Amino acid sequence: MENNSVAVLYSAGSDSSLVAIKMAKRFDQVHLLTFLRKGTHGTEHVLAGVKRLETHVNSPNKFVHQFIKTDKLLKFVMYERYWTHYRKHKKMVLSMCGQCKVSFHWRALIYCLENGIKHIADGAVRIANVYPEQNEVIMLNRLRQLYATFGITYETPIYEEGELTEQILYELRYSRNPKVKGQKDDLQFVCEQQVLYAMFLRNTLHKMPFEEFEKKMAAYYKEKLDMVEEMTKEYLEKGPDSRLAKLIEGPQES
Amino acid sequence: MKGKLKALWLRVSGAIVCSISLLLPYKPRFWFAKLLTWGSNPVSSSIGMSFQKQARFWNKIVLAFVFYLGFPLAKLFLWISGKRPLGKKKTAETFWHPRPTPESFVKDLAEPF
Repeated sequence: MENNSVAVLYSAGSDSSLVAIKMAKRFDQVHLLTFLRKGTHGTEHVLAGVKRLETHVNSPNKFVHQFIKTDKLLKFVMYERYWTHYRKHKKMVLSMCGQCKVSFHWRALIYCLENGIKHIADGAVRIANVYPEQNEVIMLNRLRQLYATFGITYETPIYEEGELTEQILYELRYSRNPKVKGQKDDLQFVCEQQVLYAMFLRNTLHKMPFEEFEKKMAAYYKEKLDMVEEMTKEYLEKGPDSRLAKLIEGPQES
Repeated sequence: MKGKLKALWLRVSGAIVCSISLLLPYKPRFWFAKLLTWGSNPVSSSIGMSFQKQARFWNKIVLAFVFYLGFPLAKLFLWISGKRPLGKKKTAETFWHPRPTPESFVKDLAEPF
């Protein structure tokens, strides 16, 4: 069992890299978790990012990096009680990015439980609060509760620093350019399905004020995260006989 | 007017894409997203996050169009529209009058020198 370790949801982008650096100062070991599924690209960039982090902190054993597949989990999160949810929450069932992040956090939770990790962090920032997993009202508060139920502390250490991330990395001499996002030096792990979330926003946001959007999304994601909590408890009780055991795919150490 | 049209387009395109993806199972939904990503214009929109790949793809399309197909297509379209038929061009009128050639000038002289 590890005591002084932390897990970081790592995509090799600016935000998660800064979180990894901050966590490396506080913890002996940082588990960088990169989740793979259909339609994601840039594993080579992620590996380059891990190497850069190791060089930056000048400690080759500080980081443990894992690629973890989440296709089965995501498929389950997207389609369980699909039409029931559609009748109740309407087009919120199409908020693909949020569902994907539910599957990432779910898998990260299981990883922490299996490895005795008591802390987890990610690069959520307030300026990206149109994404459910980076919005206090929609998902962040409920996520904190979920992790706390299993004795894990969930942190978002750069939540208020979203606009400064690249500048901070530049000042830390981690990156050579104060503008990285969307440029050729950006190592961010990317996903083709983001277009579906953009289309969902086109279709949804013009119909209601943002507060109402947050409220509707929060109701939908509360049900999803309640389901995650219930199935994780069942997994801890029943182990391989539980429903969740069939959805978990193992990590591949990079 | 242009702003209103754009807003309408955003709503309609969003509604169409959502209606289609609502009915799609897991894998086809991903293929559909792939199609949309590759089809979206990387200059005016960055919603496709495989942005650089996509931009390279569009660059090739544009370069191929301009450098390899541009001239033949321009000729073809002009020919179809009848504005410039293929074949000898009709040139502009001039005020130049043909003069006798040096050979015709000297042929009637018995002794030119």
